[in-house]
Amino acid sequence: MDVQKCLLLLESLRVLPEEFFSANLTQYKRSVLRHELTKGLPDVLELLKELMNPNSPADVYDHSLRCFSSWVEFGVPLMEGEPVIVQVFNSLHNEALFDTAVDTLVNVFSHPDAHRFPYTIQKLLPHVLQLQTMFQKASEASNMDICQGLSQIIVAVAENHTKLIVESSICQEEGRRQNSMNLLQMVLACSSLPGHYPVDENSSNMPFTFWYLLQDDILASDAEKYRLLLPLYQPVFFSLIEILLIKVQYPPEEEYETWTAEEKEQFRCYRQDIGDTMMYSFSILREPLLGHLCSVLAGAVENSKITDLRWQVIEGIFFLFGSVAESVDLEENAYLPTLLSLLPKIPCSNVKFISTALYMIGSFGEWINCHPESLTSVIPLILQGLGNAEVATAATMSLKDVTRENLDHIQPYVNQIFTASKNALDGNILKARERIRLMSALGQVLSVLPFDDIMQYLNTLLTPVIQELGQLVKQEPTPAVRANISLKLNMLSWMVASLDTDRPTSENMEGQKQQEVKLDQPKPVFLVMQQVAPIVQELLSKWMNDASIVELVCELFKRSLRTLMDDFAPMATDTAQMLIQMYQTVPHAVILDLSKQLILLFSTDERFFSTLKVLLNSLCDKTLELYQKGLQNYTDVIEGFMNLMAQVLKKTKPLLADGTYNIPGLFQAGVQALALPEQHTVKAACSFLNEFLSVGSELPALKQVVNSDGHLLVDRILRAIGGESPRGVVDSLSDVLNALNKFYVEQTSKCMNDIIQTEGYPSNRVTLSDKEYFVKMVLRERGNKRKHREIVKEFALKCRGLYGTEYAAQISAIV
Amino acid sequence: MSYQLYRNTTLGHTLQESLDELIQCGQITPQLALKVLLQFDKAINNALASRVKNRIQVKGKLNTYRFCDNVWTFVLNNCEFREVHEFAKVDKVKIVACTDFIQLGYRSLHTAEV
Repeated sequence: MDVQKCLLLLESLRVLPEEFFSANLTQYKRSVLRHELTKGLPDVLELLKELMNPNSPADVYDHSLRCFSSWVEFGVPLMEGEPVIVQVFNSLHNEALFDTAVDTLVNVFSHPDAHRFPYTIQKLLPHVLQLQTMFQKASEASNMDICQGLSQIIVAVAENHTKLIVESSICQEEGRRQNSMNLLQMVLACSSLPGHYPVDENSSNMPFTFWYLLQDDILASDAEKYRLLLPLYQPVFFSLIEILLIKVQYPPEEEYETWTAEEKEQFRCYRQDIGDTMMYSFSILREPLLGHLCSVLAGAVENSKITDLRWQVIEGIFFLFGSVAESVDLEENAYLPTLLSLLPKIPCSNVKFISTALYMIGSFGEWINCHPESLTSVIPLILQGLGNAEVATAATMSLKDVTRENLDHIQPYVNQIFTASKNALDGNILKARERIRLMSALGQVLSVLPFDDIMQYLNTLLTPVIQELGQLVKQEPTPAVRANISLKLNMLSWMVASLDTDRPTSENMEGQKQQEVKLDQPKPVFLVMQQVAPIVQELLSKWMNDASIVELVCELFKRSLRTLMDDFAPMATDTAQMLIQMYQTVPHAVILDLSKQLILLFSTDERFFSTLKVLLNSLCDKTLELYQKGLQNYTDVIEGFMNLMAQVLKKTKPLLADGTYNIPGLFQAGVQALALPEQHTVKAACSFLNEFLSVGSELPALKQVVNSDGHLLVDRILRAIGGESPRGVVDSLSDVLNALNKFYVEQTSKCMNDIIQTEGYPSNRVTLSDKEYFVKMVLRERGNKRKHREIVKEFALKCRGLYGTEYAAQISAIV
Repeated sequence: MSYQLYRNTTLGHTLQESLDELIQCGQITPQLALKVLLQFDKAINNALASRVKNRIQVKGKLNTYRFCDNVWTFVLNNCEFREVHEFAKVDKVKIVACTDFIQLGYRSLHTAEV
């Protein structure tokens, strides 16, 4: 054998199918080429079968494998390739050829067409099963490279042929049934590789997708098949649970400390995948899975009396319980009560253990709502966690979850929750996020109480917060002071968002009777805001130029507005004046957003009509001033302004009806905003102009402006379509043009026909004939938004020299 | 062949706008622009699959679901995003997810437009 020639030939043959995929060919030429390559396939396979024998030089064998792998990707009918595939399996035992053989076999079994050859897959299965001994030896010798390679093959077969495995496991032939079950055992072996992922081994994560697909196929079976599958697969999934119980455990602490940050993060994600797999397993095993976990837990606790309790074991069990919490039937009362009653009896001070236990409690929030007696055991545990800096995150999250789901039953526990929370807030153990989260939980909890009780608790809780805020406001601005102010504002903000006393509960009927008696009483949030508002005014005098503080102030008011709704009315006037003052000093998009909420809520209330007119006028005037300074520096503000004006035109027309506003200025502002590069701003401007054109038909002041300045809008749109604006906004621009056509058809028609006569306008890539055709079609299809957009898009492509290109077609599919 | 759904992201849009501009100025051809986009698809698919290991839990009320041509589209209301200590809530989220048949042994959904 001339080895050199052989290698050259193999290399040429290997490259042929690769070139087929990468060459730029027409559809016709591609199909001709495919046909020719397919014709030559039997000869290629024959050659490879000859060369892939134990007597061939290693180089030749290796190149033959790579060549076969390349043709597999092209498409080798499995039954024709079977003899070669068997030789590939044999080459796994050659260390020099192992990696290439693995890649080849993975390609074979995961090819999209492989499922068309179930009989051949079945015939090849025994070759996969024979790898078991090799896998076991490699696992015992901690040879992770071999384990990884073999895992890839096993998982490739299992994952890509799950349906076949499931069908075979209940077929008539004993041999096929046995093969299926043996393959499952091999996948279990892959999942249970000894050691910790990803440090000791890096393959046990591979079967996760398979376990998901398996349970999915089982559950998708018809009733008759399901009845046969369940008793077969329940033991398999129970075996999997046993494996996951071990693999989920943290290593000893001194070992874990030696892991890199990357390894710890990979392990965290791995545990998340285990959690998901537990969830899928639960769909097969149902409540007996809980029973199994409970008995393992009870056994571990019992053993701890003899030997030291390994927290990793219990923590792992809690983690797995937490993973299935969402799936457990809310009526379940055989196992979960046992679990929750065991909790306080397990002695452990490890931080990870306590955190996981708390997260687990939080995840059962909904179940606890159906079994409120459990609150007696879980609330004290959560509150204990609040006092421990290392587990405070878990404790606050758990408290928030449990209280949110259990508002109907939380009243007896309010006092102890409040006391523990107050102690935690007064201490120095909670971080900023935890304080904010705690305020949110407290707001929820207090909302179920009678008014007087709420106020009593609020005074105790918020008085120090408001006082501290008042003191901070008097200090000179520094980064530390800003951080503190931000924290206080956030705490207040989350409190007012969650303290919603109008929230419907199942006991609403009784609660509502209480509320009806006190209808003349202001809402607790209102009273809080009354105290906070003067401090905010003082705050703004020093911090008006600080965007983050302004955002937090607006967020606070926005949330209180959302909670109070109409009950915000007594504060509306002062808030409007505050917004005017803020916006005059430093225009900011969040001010516009809050103004929008306020205007939309109270514009129909006669008491505030004139105040809101003044507010809107002030916002308009100030924004138009920005245009003089260079609108490209204020695109976010302009976007917010356009959104505000679009809503005002849509929902509160009377505010603009009296003509005191600078309507021509507003129209010009919209037109100029179309020229900005930011797509969101352009889209907001298009929304505004659409409403302007639509409402203009009813309001003379607006109609007059369109009649006089409409040509500017037409010109702007055409230039944008012609290439001055990104293609992403062409649809929005088309809608504005459509609105012009709809409401001002004569004027638009005249204007467009005049304007296109200019040579090279809006692009020198379109002829006069193209332009005339475009105008004709646009005018014809007015009212038909979809067709209108197609016409405009086509013209836009022509203007940019992209019409008919593959590039444009691909982008059009996405945009 | 990589999924093209990441073209509909801020990064993807910005790239396309830049390519459009270069074509309009005559500095590149549409064919070259297409090659750039295809390379972008490959690079971003690869980067998201191999360099991003974060896990985030998403929980919300399912408003609509759709599965067509191997693409799932979900719209969730009152959605919570959770990653270890971080927690965020949004009113509405649209998730577009394409099943990844290419990678073995590792379940992953390419998502965009979240």
